[in-house]
Amino acid sequence: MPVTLTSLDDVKFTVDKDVAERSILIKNMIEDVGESDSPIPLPNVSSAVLKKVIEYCEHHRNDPVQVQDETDDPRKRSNDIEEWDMKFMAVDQEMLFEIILAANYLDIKPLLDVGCKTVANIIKGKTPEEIRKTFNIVNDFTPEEEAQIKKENEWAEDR
Amino acid sequence: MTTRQESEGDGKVARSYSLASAPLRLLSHSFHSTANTHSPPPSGSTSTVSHSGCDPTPPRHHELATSVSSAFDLKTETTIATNNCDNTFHATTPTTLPQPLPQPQHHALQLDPRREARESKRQAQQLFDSDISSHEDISGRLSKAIKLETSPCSPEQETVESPDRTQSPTSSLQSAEAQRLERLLLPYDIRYSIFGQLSLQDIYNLQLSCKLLYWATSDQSIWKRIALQLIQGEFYFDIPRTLPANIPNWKYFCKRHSLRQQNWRLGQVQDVITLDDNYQKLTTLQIMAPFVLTGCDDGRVHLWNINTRTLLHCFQVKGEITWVEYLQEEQIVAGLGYDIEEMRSEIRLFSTETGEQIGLYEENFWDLAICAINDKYLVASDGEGRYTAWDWRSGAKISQFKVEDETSTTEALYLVQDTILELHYDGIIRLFSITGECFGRFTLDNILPNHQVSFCWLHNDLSIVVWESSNTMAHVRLPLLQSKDANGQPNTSLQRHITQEEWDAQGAEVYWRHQLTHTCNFAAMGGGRFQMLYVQIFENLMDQVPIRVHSLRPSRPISSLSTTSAASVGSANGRFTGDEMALLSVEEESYEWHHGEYVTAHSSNPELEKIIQGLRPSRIDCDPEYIVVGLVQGGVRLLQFAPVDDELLDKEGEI
Repeated sequence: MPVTLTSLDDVKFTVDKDVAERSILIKNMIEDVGESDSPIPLPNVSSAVLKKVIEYCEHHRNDPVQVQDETDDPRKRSNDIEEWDMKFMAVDQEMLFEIILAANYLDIKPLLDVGCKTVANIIKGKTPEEIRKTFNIVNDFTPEEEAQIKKENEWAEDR
Repeated sequence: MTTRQESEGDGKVARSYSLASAPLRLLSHSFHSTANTHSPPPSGSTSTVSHSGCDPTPPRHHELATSVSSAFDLKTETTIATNNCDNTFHATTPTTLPQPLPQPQHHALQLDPRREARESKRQAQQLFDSDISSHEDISGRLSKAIKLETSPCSPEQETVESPDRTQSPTSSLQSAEAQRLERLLLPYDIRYSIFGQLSLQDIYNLQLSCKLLYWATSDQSIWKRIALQLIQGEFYFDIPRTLPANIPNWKYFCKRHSLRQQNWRLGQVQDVITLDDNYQKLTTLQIMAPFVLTGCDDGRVHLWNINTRTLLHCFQVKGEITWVEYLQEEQIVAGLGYDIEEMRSEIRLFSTETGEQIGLYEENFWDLAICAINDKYLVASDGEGRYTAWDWRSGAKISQFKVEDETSTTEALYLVQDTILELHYDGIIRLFSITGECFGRFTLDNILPNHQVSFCWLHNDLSIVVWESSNTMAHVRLPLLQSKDANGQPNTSLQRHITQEEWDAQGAEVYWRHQLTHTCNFAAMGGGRFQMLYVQIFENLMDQVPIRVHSLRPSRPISSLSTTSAASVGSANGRFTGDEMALLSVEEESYEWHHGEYVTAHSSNPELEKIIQGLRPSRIDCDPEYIVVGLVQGGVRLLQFAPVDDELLDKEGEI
């Protein structure tokens, strides 16, 4: 049974119910609303991002749903991003952030995980200057503040 | 042969062993801070303690904490106060890294999807701006926050993280990318999912890059994760479920822990603390944080609290103390005294609750050489196969038996629930029940060729470290004893027969073996699993005795925690979730061991160094925090390896 999603900029997307329900938020909304043809508004997600999210959900529609289990052994979860996901995440930074935010908003945990892992991989091993360059941010510390932080954290330096 | 006994922090396993050895323990509490309870004397860093006789004194560090914290103006961070942080815990840390306000609009964005996105964001900004209007400018606050130390944070704060928007009045000048990054890092879940995967080094670099990232990586949960990474290498695996009382936040915990590990590796003693000078010859000494238990040749048994530096109890047993044990949960101290003149032994039990004696046990054989006690039983042996067991709660004698075919003396005795585990001088291990039924007799021949086992420590996972007379130490795993039950939980009951075939198939294997370069006649063990330390001294009245610290490390670095996860939103209440706990059960096979060089305990402070070099140790014990030294001339000293808290405080919080 198809479900219609409306993006922030009023673009409509029609997807299968099981694809849409990869988003827990949408799943709950559907349950609350019951059988209805009215489109589900997603005012926090633009159409470009929603398109990507739907693409992800469609590709992963048959994945087992991850149960929120406290005793879940994280070692069983694969640490590596699979190839398709890697290609999927090879987008510009703006889109990457938007995807993460959308996954968070829509409550699509695997997508959130993959997105955050991608960002983490970007950060790994970089010096502060490289981090700034990557995200195009300015060093807004005063020299004193910077020295203070270094002093505060110097124990972490040689680990 | 004199014996001494040791109990697990959780009371499950009790064991005894020869005087010289010290068992590995699961510490129930290894993160006490001592600096809070004393002010160093002006002349140097040695602290002395006066003990108030036998009266237990309540810990003084709370009083100290309040007075110190009031000296700092905590009101500059009113947000913290409104978030119910308990500021009375600690003496060391005034205030904060930027801990954001609880932010209502964060929930608004999440919970009400029908609002126009931009509208809600605008509203959020307005709400936030109005929130901060009564406070200082954000970037100013952030600056001040950076100058001050992290504050204790209540568990609730972890779930209600709000953006400390670094948008000052100049925010319009921020680049679009920076704004985008900020928007990304607004939700707590996202921050945690990204930064929770990074190593300490990466977090350090992030903190240095800009204020936004400094703030974003300051979540307590991120630091808790790093703490887990640090602890992961610890033998004692003492995972604090919540922050220990004297540690204000996880970042501080990480710092202290990291510095402590570093000090152990370098052998750098941070402080020497005098616990007692009122001793004749010490015959037994053990540390099980936060207590030190000593026994003297005149029968005195002293129980000290390290944190308060007070003598909690003084008990008297007849004869020279050859074994003592303190069971924390059951609140009893047991001591075995051997009266040389009368050639008689007795065991006395005392309650640490009432201070009264609660049991007296004597046996016909005059040399009760070795004992073990746990929450149910007290077992005594003459070291040559004669055993008597009592139920100490009722005082009733349960059994008395002689085990046949003794080939050599018992070096160590352990009580694992209802089973007695013996280790003999010639490397034989025997298991039998409390009533004398033998479960098995095995040899460690093939792995301990030299046979002459002298010291032995039993870890709570039932692996043992033995010391052979050839000056070799070996960590031996006994997989048969470490069986798991149907649920995969470690089976702590050994009540079953083990056949020779089973033993031959998987009886014992050596984790590591190490030839010590110096002879010694005393050693203790403590520290960490992957940074295992042992200390050796050579008791020689005339010569200076260096205290050597050996470390054992994995030959490759411990991999960082592999997880992406947001399951730990549940950790907001400060407890480790099952998810996090699972991360800590490391497969031992994946590590290779090698011994680092030993270092000699020393200090860079000349006064301390002088004191350390002047120590004449006769007994020694150690745990992750201290080496406790019993002196030849009487007296007990604690060598502290954790950073002294005032120094830690000085390094932070300065403008």
